[in-house]
Amino acid sequence: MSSSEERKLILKSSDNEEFVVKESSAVQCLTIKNLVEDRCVSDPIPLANVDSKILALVIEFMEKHAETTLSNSEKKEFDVEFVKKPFDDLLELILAANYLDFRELMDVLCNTCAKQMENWSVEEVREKFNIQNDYTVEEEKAARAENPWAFE
Amino acid sequence: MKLRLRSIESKETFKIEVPISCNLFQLKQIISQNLANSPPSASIRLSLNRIDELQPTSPDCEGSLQSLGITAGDLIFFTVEASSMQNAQVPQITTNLQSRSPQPVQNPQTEPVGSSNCQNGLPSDSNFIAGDTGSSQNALVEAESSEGMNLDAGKRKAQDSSAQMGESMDYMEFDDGGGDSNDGFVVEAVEKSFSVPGFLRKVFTEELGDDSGRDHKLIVIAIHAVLLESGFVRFDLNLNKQINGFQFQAEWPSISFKLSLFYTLPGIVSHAGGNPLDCVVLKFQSLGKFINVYGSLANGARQSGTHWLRLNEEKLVPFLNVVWANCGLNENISGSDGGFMGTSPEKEVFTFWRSVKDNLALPLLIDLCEKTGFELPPCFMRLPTDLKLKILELLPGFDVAKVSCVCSELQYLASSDDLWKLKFTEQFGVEGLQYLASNNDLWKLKYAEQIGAEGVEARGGWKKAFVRTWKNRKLGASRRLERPRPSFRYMTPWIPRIRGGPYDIGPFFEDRGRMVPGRRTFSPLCNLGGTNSRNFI
Repeated sequence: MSSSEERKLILKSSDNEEFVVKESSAVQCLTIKNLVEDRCVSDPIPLANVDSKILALVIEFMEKHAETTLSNSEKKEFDVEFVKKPFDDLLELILAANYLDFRELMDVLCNTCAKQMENWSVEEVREKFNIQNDYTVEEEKAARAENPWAFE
Repeated sequence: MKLRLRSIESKETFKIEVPISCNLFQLKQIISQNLANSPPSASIRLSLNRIDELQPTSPDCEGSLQSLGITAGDLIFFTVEASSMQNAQVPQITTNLQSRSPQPVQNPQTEPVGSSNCQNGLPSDSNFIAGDTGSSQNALVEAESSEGMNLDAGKRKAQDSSAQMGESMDYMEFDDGGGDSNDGFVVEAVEKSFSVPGFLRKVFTEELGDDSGRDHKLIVIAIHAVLLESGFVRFDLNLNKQINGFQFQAEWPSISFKLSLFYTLPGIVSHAGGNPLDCVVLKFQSLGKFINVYGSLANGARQSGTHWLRLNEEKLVPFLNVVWANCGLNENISGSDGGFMGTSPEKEVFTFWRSVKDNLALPLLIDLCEKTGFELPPCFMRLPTDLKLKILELLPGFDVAKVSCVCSELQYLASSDDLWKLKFTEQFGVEGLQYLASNNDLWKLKYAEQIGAEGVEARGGWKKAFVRTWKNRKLGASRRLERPRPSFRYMTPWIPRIRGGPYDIGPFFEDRGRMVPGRRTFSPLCNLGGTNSRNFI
């Protein structure tokens, strides 16, 4: 009975795919929550900055964490499995979570990111993040010389 | 005894002879007599380091100059402004833009010389630990003056290379001489150096020249610099080609200022050949003390929004001026530590960079790439700066330092002093502040308590404190068992809380214009114990 009274929202990704979610799960995202509270909801809610693949993942996380029947440790186990994804996906998820203002997801993702980065060398960071090294040889030497203690 | 008096504003020095038993008030009277316009002695402010004012040790000004630590041959700075010392410093920074400022730097950080200077600084700490002169009260002073001397050595190197002598030599002499007789003064002598952010230095030196940067030029160029740093290049729609450099118009209208600038990406330029290019446009609009900047795709696609940023020009321009003043010099002028401005130029410039990047540069970059099908910048770099910072906050201090070697943008991001403050307290906690003074001596512990959080900023920032403490910890770890812990009996008769001057727990420059600094409260993190707390051991 409660499920039939449960309000549903339709979220539309940037590539026009629509997802149906329960309102109670969706309001974990403060962006959506604000829209609902301000009664600015037009069905479906367009989310221009999130594509369907990422939105599906977000919804999966959202619904898992909205379930009141699950204990915290079970949620944590889910989180651990959830973040076993390619790094690029994690970064896209961070962008989406930021846009949707989904704090729990943000925290989990940022922590994962940081933990992985902890053991990387400078070159690995560049490679995995695909960051261009814009230093000249001298500049790089100077930058490393400023922080020799970090390389010990 | 003979004393040298130097005016802060005019740099003129004159010598006077005063009796040894002379007190502060009498000295001011003598100075007043020596000055051309004989200002009232009460309006004369004296200092040994141009930051802290000399205060009489007793309320009725009976204390002799010697009790303040002044000896024969000392150089004393004076000003006759009614305002605080800090205000007296500011005119120097903004009016001496053309000439080399005589305010010497203790530790130029951004130059390659600076990095070797850092090396000079660190060995002095470890040398001192190895020396371990025991529990004398002067141990701290020796550490500071040895650090000061080593920094001077580095500074001499910097000055040799930049041929800036004269006034600076006098200042260095003062440091050497002052270190022994001025307990506690020497702390203030280690000034915080100012580092110019890389993205601004090049653009400012190329584009601003000798101009005073009026008519919004400063802020427009600064925004232009952020866009350049994000990968944009300026573009001329009419000529359909890239512009290098800014190429100012001869006259900018200062009232109802409006300007449009076009930017695109180098990759787009090379790909498109002669065809009309996609680009973004920045429109500037001045509204009194604010300036509005609107950014959007130039070809008016309706799907892309307009990104908008409002900047408080009135508030930002003084900080940008300080940056610009530092750009052209090999040494850095000691930047205002914000005593009267309430914040530091570096923090303000950092905030400015972040807001332009997050509100204009990054969104425009993403919009342009999406429209042209151009490859988006790497995902991590696309994150807004606050997210990047959030991730950096989760990293341990060493990894933050490693990340800063990855690329220049991350280096700037990782240089935020607030970030390092967080790292410091995370890594070393309350104990760490003990290690800031490189010896576990009673005096040093109290010194660490004294300087607290703000003192760290005055002593070169949180990153330096982190490095220093980490090194000390590493070296001190083996000695920890040998070093006797101070007992409470030793601790309790602490120096009475002297109000004002360098013995007060708060640095003078925190003051907001009153002559006697008030009692400063510690933030909870900095509660190091002492007489009231039992969590010392």
